[in-house]
Amino acid sequence: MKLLQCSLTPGGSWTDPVGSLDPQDASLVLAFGQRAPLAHPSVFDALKGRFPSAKIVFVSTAGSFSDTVIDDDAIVCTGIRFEKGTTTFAVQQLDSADRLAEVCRNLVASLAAPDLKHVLIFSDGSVVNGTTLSETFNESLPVGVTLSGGLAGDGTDFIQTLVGLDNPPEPGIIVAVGLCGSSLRIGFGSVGGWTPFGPKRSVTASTGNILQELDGKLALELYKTYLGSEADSLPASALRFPLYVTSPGQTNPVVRTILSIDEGKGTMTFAGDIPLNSTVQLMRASYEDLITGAEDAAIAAAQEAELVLCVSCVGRRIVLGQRVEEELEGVRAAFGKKPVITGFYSYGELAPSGSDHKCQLHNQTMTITSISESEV
Amino acid sequence: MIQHPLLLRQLRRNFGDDHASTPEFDKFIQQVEGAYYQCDHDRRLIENVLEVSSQELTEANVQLLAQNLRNEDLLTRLRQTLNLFEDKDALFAEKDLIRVAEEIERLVAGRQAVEKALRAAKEAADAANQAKSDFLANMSHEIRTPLNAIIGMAELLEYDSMRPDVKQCLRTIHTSGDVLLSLINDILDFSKIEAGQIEIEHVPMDLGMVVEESVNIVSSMASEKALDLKLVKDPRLPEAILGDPLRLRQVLLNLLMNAVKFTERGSITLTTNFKTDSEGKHFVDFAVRDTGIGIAPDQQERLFKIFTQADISTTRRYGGTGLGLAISRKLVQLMGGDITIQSALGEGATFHFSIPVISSEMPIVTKDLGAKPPLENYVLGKRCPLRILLAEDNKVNQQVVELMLNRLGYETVIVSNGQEVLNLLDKESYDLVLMDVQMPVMSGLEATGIIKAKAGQKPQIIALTANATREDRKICLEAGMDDYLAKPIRRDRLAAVIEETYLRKNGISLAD
Repeated sequence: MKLLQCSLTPGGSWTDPVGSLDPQDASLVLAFGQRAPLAHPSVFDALKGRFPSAKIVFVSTAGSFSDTVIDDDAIVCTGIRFEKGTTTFAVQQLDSADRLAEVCRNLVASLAAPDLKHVLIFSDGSVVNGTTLSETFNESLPVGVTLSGGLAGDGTDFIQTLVGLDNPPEPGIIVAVGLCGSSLRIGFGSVGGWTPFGPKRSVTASTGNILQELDGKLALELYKTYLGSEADSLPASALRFPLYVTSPGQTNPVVRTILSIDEGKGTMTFAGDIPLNSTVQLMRASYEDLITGAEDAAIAAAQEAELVLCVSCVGRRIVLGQRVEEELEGVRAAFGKKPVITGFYSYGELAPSGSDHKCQLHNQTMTITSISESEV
Repeated sequence: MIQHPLLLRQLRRNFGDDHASTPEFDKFIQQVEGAYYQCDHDRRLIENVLEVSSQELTEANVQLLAQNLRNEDLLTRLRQTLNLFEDKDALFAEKDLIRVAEEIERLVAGRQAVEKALRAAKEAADAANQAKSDFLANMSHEIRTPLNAIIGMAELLEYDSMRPDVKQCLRTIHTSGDVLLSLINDILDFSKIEAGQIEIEHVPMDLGMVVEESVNIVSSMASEKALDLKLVKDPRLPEAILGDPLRLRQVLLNLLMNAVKFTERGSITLTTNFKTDSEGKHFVDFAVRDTGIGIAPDQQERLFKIFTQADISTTRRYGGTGLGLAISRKLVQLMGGDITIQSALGEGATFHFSIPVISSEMPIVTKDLGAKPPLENYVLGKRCPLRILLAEDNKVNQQVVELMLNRLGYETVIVSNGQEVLNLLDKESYDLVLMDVQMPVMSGLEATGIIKAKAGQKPQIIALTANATREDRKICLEAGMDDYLAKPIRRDRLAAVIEETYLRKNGISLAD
């Protein structure tokens, strides 16, 4: 596996490359950037010029990084060439949210390869329901094929997310990259670091992923009370208090983060369903808890990796502020100096969890996929 | 420009008011200021969270304390009550005990009074309801007797008469009588439904046959108006189901007859559809669709109210009592469904109902009701010679049945009560006794019981009942009668029953 990492700056110049891969030889490029710089008309041609024989995946983010440095103005590019493994690609446009399952099945069908080992997903993050996406892939993928990735982001604006494969990125796109070959070794880790606090509350009114009432009172009002003066910067500020949701009849709670609010109706939309009669608790995190969480995710994914792809939640960036890079330093410490690290802050993380390695939508986590090709 | 007060103060203290600045230094200081502000924000947020959270927990605590106080109060009272019973010697306890006993007595007495009043009210209501039902039953019996005579006589004369104009007049008398009779039956039916006296049977029945019969019955009415009458039968209909063939036929006939009545041209279609729901329960959908005058949406619900038709002009133009649909709906509801309408004025109407069905494993007992060509006068008596005794107290009815039997080719001996039947049977033997149920001196049921209990050759006994209800039929058969004929006695039915009696007497089975 050969790698090359460099960034396209706003002025159109390239930073000094890290890695031994000749850009001409790259077969896959991951290009992460904030929506505005990524959508700049010159970006597509600049990347195609630099990586002429590569398939380029474009993803808008809430912050992109190479190694342990976040750069909100540049496009972070990681060129990859597998020595033994191969790649397959599939892209679909989601024109209606109802068709998501069908679109995911189409993606799986296009990726089909006898030695398919792992699928990287880069999906639109504003119209795609991450729960449906991961469930459909779980149903459709052959047994033993794992899946990870994330939903694109849009800074803290929550307006529009862009994804593209070898084309200028657009809203509503899902890109799937199939990694094939027995030489590939893939590791995973996904940890949050959040702690529930305060009273347990019951969901007394909700529809799908739209929450109206907790204990008979408007949920939005509760959030505003807790946020105090920070309520002015809703919905981003609500990411500081994700919900710890235990569905009725379930024992495994999930963490759900807020996506948007509707002041008129007094409702809040979350990144996954909040079923009626669920028990929920607000969650909080200290800097230290989040940074330790990221380290734990890295330890879970640790191996003699060559490439480490991190997908972290925008909520963590909001809480950590200027200290956000400390969670990346935690990842670096766990993996040592060798691997190339890249990744982005997202609106939803996808990674296998549990003993059966089924993919799940995570919220508010650091989710890590480590990749290497064995020497044998 | 730095604004954070602490940072400003620190800069001033360490570098003086107008320190030299470089772009690098300024950028660094700006980042430091950002971190200061973020720390402040975070601290404020955490303080606020602490504040709100502790308010919420304090509130929860207050509620818990209040709940606890209520519990303790309850516990104290419970303890005191228990002490009342344990501490018998204490003076205050005795007083309290008496007070408690008096209170209980008062409560019990009050409740008993209420219960008594309720019982009395219910009994009064039941009695009134029973009186109404009895009155209706008696009234309809009183009306029916002369009506039966009118219908029977008209039918007989129709057969006898050669003149077409007279035949037509007699036909009109006959059909008018029928209409009057069905009106009385409707009223009686409805009062029974209202009084909860109608029970839906669950006997093995041939669903397909009930549907076909219903269509056959209205087919002549439809062809008189040149209407196209169609039956679309779902091939998946189970052959045998458990149900109430009489009541189902009644509903289907009512809907089909209404359709014929309110359709001037076009077609009437009865559609049946077999369905199974997600829980595996079976249903049959019935739909009667016509191309008639239709019903405006705002009139549709009124249709099911008793004595109501779509509007007054309908009554003037089409006649009818407006009872049929109300009865049909009640019957369908008793069968576990409901009737709905789809219609618009001028666009025909579809009456639809769906009832749950249970397939029957048991065989269906049916009689061959196939239409036979009209029997010529005086023929049956020669083919099936029988000695027939008629027991009937009403003179007019005696005359009607005697005339009918005469035309069928039989000489008849007539007596007017059960005792006379017994007396006569002691002296002579008869093959068939046509026995009225209600007679003075000795009823038909009593006489039948005595006859059937005797040893030796016994005549077959056919009941003549005023009410063709199932209850009546059951009573007759339980008393030992072989069959029954509902009044008004129809010439064809009479002939059929006589023929069956003849076959039975000669040992030919009718079961198949």
